[in-house]
Amino acid sequence: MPDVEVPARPRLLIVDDDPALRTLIRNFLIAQDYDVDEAEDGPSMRAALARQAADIVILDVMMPGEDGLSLARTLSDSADVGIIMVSALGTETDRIAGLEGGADDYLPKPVSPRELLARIRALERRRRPVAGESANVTAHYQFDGWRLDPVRRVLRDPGGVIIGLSEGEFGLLLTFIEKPQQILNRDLLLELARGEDSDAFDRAIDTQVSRLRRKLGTRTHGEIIRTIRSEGYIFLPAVTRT
Amino acid sequence: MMTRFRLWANSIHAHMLAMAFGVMATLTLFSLSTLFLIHPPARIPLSVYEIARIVRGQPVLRDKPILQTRVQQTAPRAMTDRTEKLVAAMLAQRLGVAQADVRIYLNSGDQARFNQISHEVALYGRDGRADPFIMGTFTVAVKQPDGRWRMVTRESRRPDTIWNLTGRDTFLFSLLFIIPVSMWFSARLTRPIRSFAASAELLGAGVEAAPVPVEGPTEIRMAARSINDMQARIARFVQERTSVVGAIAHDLRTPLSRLHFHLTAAPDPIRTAAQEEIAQMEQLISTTLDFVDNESRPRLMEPLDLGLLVEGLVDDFADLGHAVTIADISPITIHGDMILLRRLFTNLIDNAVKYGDAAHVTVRTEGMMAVVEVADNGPGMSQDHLNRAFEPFFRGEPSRNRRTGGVGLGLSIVQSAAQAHGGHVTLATQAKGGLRASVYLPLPD
Repeated sequence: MPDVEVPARPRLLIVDDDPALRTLIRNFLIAQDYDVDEAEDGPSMRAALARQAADIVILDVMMPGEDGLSLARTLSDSADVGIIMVSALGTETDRIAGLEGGADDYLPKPVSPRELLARIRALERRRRPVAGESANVTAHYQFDGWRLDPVRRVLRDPGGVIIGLSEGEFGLLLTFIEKPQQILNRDLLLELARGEDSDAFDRAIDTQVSRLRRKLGTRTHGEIIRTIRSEGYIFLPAVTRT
Repeated sequence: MMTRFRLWANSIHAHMLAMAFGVMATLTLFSLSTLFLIHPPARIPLSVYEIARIVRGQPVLRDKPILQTRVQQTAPRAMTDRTEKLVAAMLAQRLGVAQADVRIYLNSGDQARFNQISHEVALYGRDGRADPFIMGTFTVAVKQPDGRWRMVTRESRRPDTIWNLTGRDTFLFSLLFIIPVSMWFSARLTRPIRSFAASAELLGAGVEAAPVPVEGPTEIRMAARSINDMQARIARFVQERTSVVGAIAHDLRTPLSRLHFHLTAAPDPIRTAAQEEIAQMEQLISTTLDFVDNESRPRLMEPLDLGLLVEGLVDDFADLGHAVTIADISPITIHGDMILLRRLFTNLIDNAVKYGDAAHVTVRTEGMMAVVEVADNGPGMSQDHLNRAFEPFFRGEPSRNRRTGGVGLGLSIVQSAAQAHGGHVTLATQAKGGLRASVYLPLPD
């Protein structure tokens, strides 16, 4: 699916202390029609950005000197740039630290080319200023007393109890929450919620919605997701960001 | 010098000495108080001559006797004892009244001496010299000219005072006094020991536990300090281990990433096969990291719905096409670390799917425990394997084939995660075949 509405080729900057991996990623992304720059550490990253701004920085976490986490913090404070964090640790704690530190996405090593490309494209889509608001991944959401932390992937009921959802249901709920009080048809839901973990999302969207509705229903009485016959679904509660 | 004394004064040793000294001092005080404050019983012997003086209202030589005098209309009961009659006769003679007008009633203590009194009267009476002594309490009744009876009672003992009671029941009183004091004292002394024990207990739950507070008696402070030092050393050790494993993971994952990119140029069959190898190596690395992370990551205990958490994981597996079912989901809220619990149940379900082709999960409560059971359709495990199943790096199936490949850390992670929640895991081969893992997690109070 060609991106017809993107005028200029997006500029990527790879920051990694491993020169071989840097070159490999760079060659792969150039073959995918991106403009790619590279840097080996914090200072050279700043120098590269000073020469030419980048749209997305692919940032390794474990680097000598200033590590990726602190670079991400300074980057997200100063420049409007998308950050994909790549970490060799790959634990849940590490992922949360990365996302809360200002990264837009987090990829554990070993990174496969397919996965990296999918994440870059997803981030490009999110960064396109169509929705009118920048997608702030660290924002928490609230609806009907429920709270959702998209970074830690935690959903709490009005009593503060954590409600476990499957990956698919969580993605679906996040999609609903980002577009509340509007009718979303099945194709759009599939497209939006599919996102990263497409494997886990093969089950029909209707099954996912009914499961999600039942699980939310164990903790609340009000209607949250309404079926609009032959159109799709609508997420009823108002959503606030905190 | 001063600080050393202060340390000593604050020690259990000093407290015990003080306690012993306190008890000794208290008991001594009680004994002394009987000496100074208690009136001994007035068991002064009075001769018949003196009794006559008392009846006449004349003073006697020794202590002022304790007397009660009353006058009554009716005659007192007749004397029954021969000795009492003898004494009464002598008294009547002294008082110069008729024998029938004087009666005396002796106490039970004197009754033991009745024979002696009778003998004295028999022996000296003929000479008119008999003058027997009466001890203790007695009552003399003398008929007055107006026909009424005057009763004079000599009490051998003053009315009971608190000090008399104290003196008589020193043991009881010291119990009443010393026991509450020593209970308070020992509670005061053992409170820091108990809180020390409780804090030390918490350390077992994880390395991030708060240090044991350095307070209470000197010995406890010393123990708390050394346990905190030890804790810091363990934390450092775990930290080092985490960074070593992290460094190894990094050094392995970076070449694996490179391999992924090299493979883009490879023909399809080679790429697919190689990617499978990479995936398996990656699984080994991540399991090892999970194992280390389980112990080093700070726990975040939050209320969570255990049933829905497990159900979410079951749905994840089912969405990927595995034969995983769940039944009996009761809404159970427990306090737990979400990441740790997800890892725990993911490992169990993953094992069931890998080795037993399917997982049947149930969630229920049993007494004060929430129980999650994961059963499979596999061959189960031999008793020998069951015993060793939780050992790190132990693998029930040593072939390390591709489909079931693992490091042998899955169940160790399960066990340490359950223990971090104050729970435990059991494994059993079911009668109808298949392995059943039961995770017991305590319900909140």
